[in-house]
Amino acid sequence: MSENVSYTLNVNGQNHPVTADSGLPLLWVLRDVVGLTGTKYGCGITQCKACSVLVDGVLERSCDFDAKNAAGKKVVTVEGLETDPVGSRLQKAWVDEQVPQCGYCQSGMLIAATSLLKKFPRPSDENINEYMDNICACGTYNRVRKGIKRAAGVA
Amino acid sequence: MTSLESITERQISRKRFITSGLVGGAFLLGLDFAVSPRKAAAAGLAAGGRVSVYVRINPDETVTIVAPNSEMGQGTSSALPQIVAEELMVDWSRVRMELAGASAAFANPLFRAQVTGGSTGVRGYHNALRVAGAAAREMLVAAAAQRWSVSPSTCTAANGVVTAGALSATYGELAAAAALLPPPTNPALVERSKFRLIGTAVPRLDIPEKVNGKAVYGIDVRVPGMAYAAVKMAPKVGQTVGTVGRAPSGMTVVNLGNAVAVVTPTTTWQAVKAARSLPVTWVDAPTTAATDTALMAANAATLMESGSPVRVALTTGDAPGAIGASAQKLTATYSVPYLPHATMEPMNATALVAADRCEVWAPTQNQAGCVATAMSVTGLPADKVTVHTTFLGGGLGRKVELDYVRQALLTAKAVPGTPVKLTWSREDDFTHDFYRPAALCRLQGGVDAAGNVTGLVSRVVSPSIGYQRGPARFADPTAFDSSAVEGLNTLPYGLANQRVEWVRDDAQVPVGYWRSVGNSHNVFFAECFLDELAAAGKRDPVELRRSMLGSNLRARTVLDTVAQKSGWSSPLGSGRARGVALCQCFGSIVGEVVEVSGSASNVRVTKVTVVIDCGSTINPDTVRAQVESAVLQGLAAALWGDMPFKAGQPLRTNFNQFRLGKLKEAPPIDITIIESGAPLGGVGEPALPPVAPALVNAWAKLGSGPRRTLPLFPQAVPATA
Repeated sequence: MSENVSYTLNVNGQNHPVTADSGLPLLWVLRDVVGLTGTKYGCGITQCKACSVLVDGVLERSCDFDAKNAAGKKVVTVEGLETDPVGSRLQKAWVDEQVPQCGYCQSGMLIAATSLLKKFPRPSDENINEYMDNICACGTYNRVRKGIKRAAGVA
Repeated sequence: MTSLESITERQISRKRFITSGLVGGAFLLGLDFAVSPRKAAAAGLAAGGRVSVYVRINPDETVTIVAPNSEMGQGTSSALPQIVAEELMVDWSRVRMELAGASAAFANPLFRAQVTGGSTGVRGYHNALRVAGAAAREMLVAAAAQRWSVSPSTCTAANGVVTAGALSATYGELAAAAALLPPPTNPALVERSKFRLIGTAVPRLDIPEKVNGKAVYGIDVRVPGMAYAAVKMAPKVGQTVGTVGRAPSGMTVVNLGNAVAVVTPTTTWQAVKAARSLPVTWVDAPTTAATDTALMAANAATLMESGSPVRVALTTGDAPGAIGASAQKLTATYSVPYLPHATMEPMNATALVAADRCEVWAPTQNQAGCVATAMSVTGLPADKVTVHTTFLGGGLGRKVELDYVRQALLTAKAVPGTPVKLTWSREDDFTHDFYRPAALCRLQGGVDAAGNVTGLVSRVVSPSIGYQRGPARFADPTAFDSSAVEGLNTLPYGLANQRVEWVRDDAQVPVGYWRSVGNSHNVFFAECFLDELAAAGKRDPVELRRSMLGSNLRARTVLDTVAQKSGWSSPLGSGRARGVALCQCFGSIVGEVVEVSGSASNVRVTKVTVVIDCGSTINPDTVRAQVESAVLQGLAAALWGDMPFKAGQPLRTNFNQFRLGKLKEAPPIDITIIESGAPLGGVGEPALPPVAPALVNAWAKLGSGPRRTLPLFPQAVPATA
């Protein structure tokens, strides 16, 4: 058993004091310590991307991101998207296009799409293809594409 | 979430029950009553069948409607309230939804149990919900009529308001009085021509909370004082626990028979880490080593040859004789592998076991089974068991099973009074599934001089979902497992000479219901072989199918429409081709044309055209979403999906070894819904089976040769899990 460490995490603009196992991945700090369960566990090996979050604006897979390395940085999860202009636009587009089915992967999808639109405000299909690497077992992919385009205002 | 269980049920007459009360400032109205035999017959219910709906009319004039079956993405948590709201005469914008916990009152009338599966959500509940929604509306009208001392016939209900001349009252104002009235036994239903909501693409009620992270799946359940558990599962099929090492400090270890649970107060991650490093020895079952893909394939081939014992699922005319007398005779053997469900949310459940009560929070398709499991684990009676249904991060048939719920209950029982959330790792999930059965199928067919199909004989060798659950009924030598042959004994074609045989394979891989079940492989077998027969007889695949549809007008319309929408008769450039497949299952008929580009050795799907006749729709956009979903799942399975075994060990453990399609691989999907007016058909599953054969049939035109084994592009098999 590794040692406990203490640090402060800034998640969606709020500071959370954390005392936890030194190697604890950010995913489990968010879910079990901070209590924000929107970020999902799907594979634990960065394959499915359901655990995607933004750390200082960078798209990270939180299942394989040592939480203590996020101390002093700004973590954004799906729960924080509504105060982000791009994120909230995507959330609205997701409702308009009726994207989610089971919805389990959609937190990761929305975080990835937010990151995409911050890099490519008017993404091409190729940009979307390359960037949106998340797994959705329900097969919402065509609606995800439409949602991104709607939020970005591109045809 | 408001607890409906805190409300008491009151018997208001010999056969009628009503639940009512003040909940968080809102009046709750629950009806649970026997419908009249005449009404029951008209609605397709058994006489005396109980109908229930829980409607809560809130002070802000929103109406909360309880969705009786599980929401795993298929959209019934909206479609079922949509049916109630139609009859209740409320605006969709005022409707809220709540997922039902376990209650006999919420049993699906088709199953007589609260189970979600078989594409029965809308089909099963539709009639009952309409009757109940209408009854609730009539009670609100009756309350208004009483208040105003007028006849109910002078009152009109619309948009959540009852009016009579200049008088009007909102449902919120009437709910308390309505809750005290006896429910009517013969409520008048809204006429189809006056539907405002049914058949309309209203926005789903579950989507807003699925885009802001607030939707609670099983894995998200947080109960005060909760501990976290993970499991170390038997690495091989059939193994049981031998010896268990000492629990790490501060943790509890629970022997679950074929797994060991580790409980910690801290986090799921720490439980997972502790479970991984816990020393456990395992004892093989006698059959463990034989659970091996190579050995099982050899055994299935032997069973195919011996056909011993054969069980006949269908026989019409004299198929062997007709084939024997044909100008051309074809024989081909097809096969599909075991398939994991790979739901995005791994198995998990939360349980609290105390001396006098038990509570379960689960992402389950099987509330009825959760109650029974809790009773068997705890010894408590049903009225001491409470089951809360969460959202399901995918179900696909996997969450009908109760193995993970039982584990959570057994673990919680070891720490009485402490709620325990037990979560599987992705590795646990892949390697402890109830897999779609592998199946081997030999087809024999005859073609006459004009290219007509003269007869079809198919023999399927496969493990039996039914036998693994209840072997007793198979003592009868004529008994067969319909899930092993469905798709072959239910062809849309009117074949004069057909024989469907099944040979049970007693391989020990746990098998279960995978989206579309037996249709997922049998439609692949039948529809690919039909294209082989068409090629032998030099017939166009659409034209040949059409000639065989006889009086099946629905299927013919579906086939004609998919041919037209896909541009079947328009030529494609070189290196491109189309393939077609048709199926009828779950009460719906689906035709698909897959367009591909590629070569003899490689293929890419460029477009899928789908036509579905599901009778009529509640929400056409949900139907489209389910078609999109079924097509992409079927495609991924056809291209890459399998679970190989080596000496008892399932070899694929995570998404790096099991490929699901990605966004960039999703082809455009063009969908046409035909509302034929036939009885409501299922929607969640029927669009899956045709996609694999349509793909293979298209590829054959690019010179692929016969591709009779799925997946088409097997992924590298890990040496060991």
